[in-house]
Amino acid sequence: MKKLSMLLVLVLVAALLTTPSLAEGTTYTQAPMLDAKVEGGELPPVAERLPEEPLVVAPGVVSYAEYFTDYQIGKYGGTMKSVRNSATWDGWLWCILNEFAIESVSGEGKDFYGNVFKDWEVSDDFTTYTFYLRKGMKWSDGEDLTTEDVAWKFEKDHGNEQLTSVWPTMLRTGNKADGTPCTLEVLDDYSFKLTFDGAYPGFILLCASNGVYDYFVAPAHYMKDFHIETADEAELTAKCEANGYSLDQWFSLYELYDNTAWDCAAANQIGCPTLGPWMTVSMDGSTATFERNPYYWKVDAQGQQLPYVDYMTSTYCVDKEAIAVKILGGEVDYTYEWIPLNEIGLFAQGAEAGKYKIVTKTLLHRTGADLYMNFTYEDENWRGVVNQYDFRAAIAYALDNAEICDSVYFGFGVPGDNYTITEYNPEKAGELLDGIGMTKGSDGWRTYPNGEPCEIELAYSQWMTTYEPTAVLVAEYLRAIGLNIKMKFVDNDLMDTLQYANDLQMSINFSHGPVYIQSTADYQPYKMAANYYYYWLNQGATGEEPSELLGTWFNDYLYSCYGVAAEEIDATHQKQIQFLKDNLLAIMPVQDIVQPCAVANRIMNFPTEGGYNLDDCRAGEDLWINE
Amino acid sequence: MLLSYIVKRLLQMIPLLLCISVIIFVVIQLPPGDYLTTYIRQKESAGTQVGADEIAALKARYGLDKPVYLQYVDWIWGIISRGDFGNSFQWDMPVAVKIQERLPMTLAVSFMTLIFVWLVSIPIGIYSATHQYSVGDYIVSGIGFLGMSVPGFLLAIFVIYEVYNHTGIAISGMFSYEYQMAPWSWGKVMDMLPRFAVLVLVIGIANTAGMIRTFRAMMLDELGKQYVTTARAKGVGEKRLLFKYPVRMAIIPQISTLAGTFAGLVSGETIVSKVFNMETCGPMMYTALITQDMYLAGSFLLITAVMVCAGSLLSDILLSLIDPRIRFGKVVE
Amino acid sequence: MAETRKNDVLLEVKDLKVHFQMNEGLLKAVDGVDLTVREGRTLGIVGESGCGKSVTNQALIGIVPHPGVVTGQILLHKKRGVALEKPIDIVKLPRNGKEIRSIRGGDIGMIFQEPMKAFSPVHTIANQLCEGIMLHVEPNKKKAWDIALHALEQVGVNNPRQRMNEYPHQLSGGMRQRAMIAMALSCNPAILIADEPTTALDVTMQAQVLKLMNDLKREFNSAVIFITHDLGVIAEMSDDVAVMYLGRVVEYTDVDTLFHNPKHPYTIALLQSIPSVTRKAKSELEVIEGTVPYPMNMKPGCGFYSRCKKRVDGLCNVQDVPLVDIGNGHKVRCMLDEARRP
Repeated sequence: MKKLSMLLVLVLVAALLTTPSLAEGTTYTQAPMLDAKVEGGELPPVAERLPEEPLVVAPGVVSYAEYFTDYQIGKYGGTMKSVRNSATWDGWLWCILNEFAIESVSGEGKDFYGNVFKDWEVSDDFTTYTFYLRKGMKWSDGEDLTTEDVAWKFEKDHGNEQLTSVWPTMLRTGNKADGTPCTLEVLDDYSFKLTFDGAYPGFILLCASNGVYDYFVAPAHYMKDFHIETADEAELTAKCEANGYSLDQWFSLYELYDNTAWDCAAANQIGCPTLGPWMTVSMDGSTATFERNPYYWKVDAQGQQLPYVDYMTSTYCVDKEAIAVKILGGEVDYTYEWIPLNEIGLFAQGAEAGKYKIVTKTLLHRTGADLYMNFTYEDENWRGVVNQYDFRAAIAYALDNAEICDSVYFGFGVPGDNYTITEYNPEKAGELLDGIGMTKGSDGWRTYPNGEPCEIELAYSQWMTTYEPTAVLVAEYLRAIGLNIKMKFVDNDLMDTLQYANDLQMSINFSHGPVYIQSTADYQPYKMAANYYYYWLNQGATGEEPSELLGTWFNDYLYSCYGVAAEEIDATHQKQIQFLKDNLLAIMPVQDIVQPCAVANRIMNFPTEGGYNLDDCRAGEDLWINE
Repeated sequence: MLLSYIVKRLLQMIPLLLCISVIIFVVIQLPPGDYLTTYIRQKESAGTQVGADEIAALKARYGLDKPVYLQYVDWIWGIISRGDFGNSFQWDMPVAVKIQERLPMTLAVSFMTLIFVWLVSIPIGIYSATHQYSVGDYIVSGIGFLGMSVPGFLLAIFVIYEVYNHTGIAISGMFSYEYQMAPWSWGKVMDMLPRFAVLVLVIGIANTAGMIRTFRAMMLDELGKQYVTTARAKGVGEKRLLFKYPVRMAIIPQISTLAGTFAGLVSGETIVSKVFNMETCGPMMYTALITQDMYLAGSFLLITAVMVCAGSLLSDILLSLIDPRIRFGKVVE
Repeated sequence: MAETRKNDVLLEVKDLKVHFQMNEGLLKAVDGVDLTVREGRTLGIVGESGCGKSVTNQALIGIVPHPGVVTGQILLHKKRGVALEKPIDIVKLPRNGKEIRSIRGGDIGMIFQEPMKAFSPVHTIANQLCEGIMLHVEPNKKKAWDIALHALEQVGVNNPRQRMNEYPHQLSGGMRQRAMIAMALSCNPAILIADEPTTALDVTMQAQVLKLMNDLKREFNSAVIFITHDLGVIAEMSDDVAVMYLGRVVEYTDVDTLFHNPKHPYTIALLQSIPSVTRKAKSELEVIEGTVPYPMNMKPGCGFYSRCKKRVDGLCNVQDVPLVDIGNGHKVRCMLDEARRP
């Protein structure tokens, strides 16, 4: 038995992607800007800065090889320019600096490989995960990354009530909010075990989709000066007060100085050790500058230490129009998600002057504008009909998905049948409604089966440019089949609040789930059935008991991908989407939404042929500037 | 006498500003949700789940788990006792630092705009009044009406478009990319000047137009007065007469509205600067309000209130100095 | 000041007309004024509101507002005490030019009706006095200041040194009027025009100011043009009188003749309407019926026709009536024989 399980483990390990390795005799080289520092003794030579087994990046590692039209080994130097609309969060940089523990190629949730962690093993019952760090891998200030940093994270950070009031869901069995937290066992300097009290096959998927390294490690040598248990009290008090906190708010200070990619452009990130390709070095009010991390642990196929580019800058723009101006002026090297679909013409026009090209990639992490019907809306009549499949099907048949695709998405999308009924058949819709007893009244509008008038509120905001046109079209289609739709415009900020408060009957909103395999549980179920969701989430403490249909959804399908081994994830995901489609839990008229991006002509090694735009962002370290 | 007047006015300002601070704080809280809601929504649309653990930690960190009035008291006490305006949620930095970054530029812009507005509108107003109904007057009045009716931001967009079309330069900030992070140098100043000038111009034009009309009206009023005739009858030359008498009198109401003008410039600056993406207070205050970055927004508004009060005091003092009929806020007869 | 005073002609006004072309028609504010102003003599101009006195004034120093057109002649014979070979015609001088500006204030000084409005509220008394002085008399500021101070003393302003640095609103009504007189006098103009200077003052003030003016006139031998609607003041102040009606001088003679032998029906009516101390108690007051017509689009003929008790249809309303000298310099503008008999 033991032999069999060992075999299984080996097979599992082998099934994972093996990343390329360097040819025999390759020597490491570094960026010229570091030469002076090495000569002056400030930095050790590159071979000593890299781990024994650095990650070799080539086409097929970060993104699939066929996505590259012109991959070349790069030259060092230059500064890449990014923009952001929020004080401390830069979308592109966030993706780049988000080094996951484990990665999947092109972010598609298969073909996993070790990223920050070199390797891992899974026990056959999926309860124990053994992770191996890279020997010799260092933080950006030169200190070794060892299991001391892992221990620190689990004991002093996750384990500290004030810092982490709730143990991270991802590190609980089954990724469930009520699951048991894992236990840590340090094996040696470079390996450790995490043990769960039940099978948790989907853990690897989560490590690759959500497992940014700061779930597992923190630079103990740096953070200890910020922790109440280890710092010198006087010094800590001084630091707290300098930032406007009292000593018993030390955890706020700790959070402030703990490096996260989300706040990469924040001033307090300067000096905090990181594992990303660039480190924050200055923040002068509007522009944050990032300098190469001399201890970055990735190389290219010829042994050149990555990244190629020396600096990155992120300029703060007060709103999206200002960003548009900068893009047109050629001041942005890659535009992440800043170009909305309806403005593609403007940016295409300016491509020559701005020295960039427009690329259309598929939008990864969300659908476009979908139609949600709130199963738990407080109206007995409404609940009576919305819980019937025929009602929902009628709505699906009533929508002309092709027209929506053309009008709202300018044809950049697919009125497909991944998640919904694509057929446009208003007569059938009418028949279905008649069939459930919603016949037309004297005023031409359909009534509820009990004869009471039926008025349906359709809420939408302007958070995305596609919401309003979609809402207008949907209202039109539904009125055409006799449903009395009242449109309700809601302020962006109010939308979420109302949705959480179960106040919306029908709404137009996006969804993460169906597309983004790496966020498979995040269908934002509060949009489709707020009260059921709270019940399920808080184990019956709040909300109301889900109906059989939604109960099945929550229990059997929502988190299903985390309950299976890596190679079954795809199939499980398909089942999940099929359930969604079979039951029309939400109606998603257009799929494969496109995100236009502008990439500066001078940027090389950018994956332009196919794939999702989100993982394009992550391919930051192998970009280089050709000037 | 003057000193005691100033002291009295300053003392009066304190309860006024306290009241204003309460109102500011309440109004900022009024929109539903808080900073966290924006933060969470942002993360979600970028593809990350925000777990309950994170939300709880953030709430504690930003003090959003305390009742509103306590948050207010913390804030105002911090300002009074330590000059600590609190922390900005967005930037994770003390508000004082953020304001300091942008205040000098804002003051410079507002001040220069004020001077620009005065320099332009007074001569034109005088010309318009003394050449009433002439061709020149109609032209200037026409431009004036146009300037008053075209919103500043529209003009800004237009300027950006035209400049981009003709020169390929996209104005989006006080400095071009090369000089953004560079230390101050002659080159940096030269880089900044045209953009600074454009900003002052666009903000100024709307205000100029209004001022020309007012000034013209005041001038016409004064020109018909008896003392002007007296001076003329004494043999004083027209030009001298113009500046010594009607202009002097017509300026007086402008000074008395200095506070309002200044406040108008600061708020007018917001929208135009936002369009141009300038590094002034306006856009930052706007974003702070939208994201409910409470302390940053509140502090900005408080500073604006202080500026208006100070401007009002200043204009009262100036008025006392310039118009002998008014001494320390009272008309002497 | 014991030498005999010369009574040279300083200013001659011949057939002065000031017409305003308005949208509604032609407004003839002044339509025929002839005056002679001599050194050392006061010419009183009397008439109701709207008879054109003020516009005449304005024409004399060339400050008639747009769109007034001035025709006729205003001849200035002496400038700063020096007789001119060729008299300057003020009508022909370029408006606001250097020449006329030197005449304004320097040769012809004005005293206005309402001293509060006539002074600028934001400049000191000293400033306003010195302004004129520095233009016409003494360019040095310090010396001008002394001259101004002296002028204030002369007019009887108390605490003149203090007053110099005060603002008009800090002086009482009477003080202000004195200051105004000082302002006009300080430049030593040969001709002083006083436009209803005492109308805004109470009776005691009035008496003082009038006395002051007479004293100053005697001292400087200035010519004074005194404009008023008060016949009593005319009697007291004037040497010669011109009666104006509807923009025209209708009677022009010395003061005694005017009061004892008026010829023009208007003058007679005016004099009759003065309430007399000796008249019978409770008897009705004499009035001139009707009101002064608006001087626009008028028909030819005598202006007083509509209100004249002695009017003759066919005689008085046919043509404009000329001003005729009926002997001894007594001029009348009337068609009736009895008016024209000396």
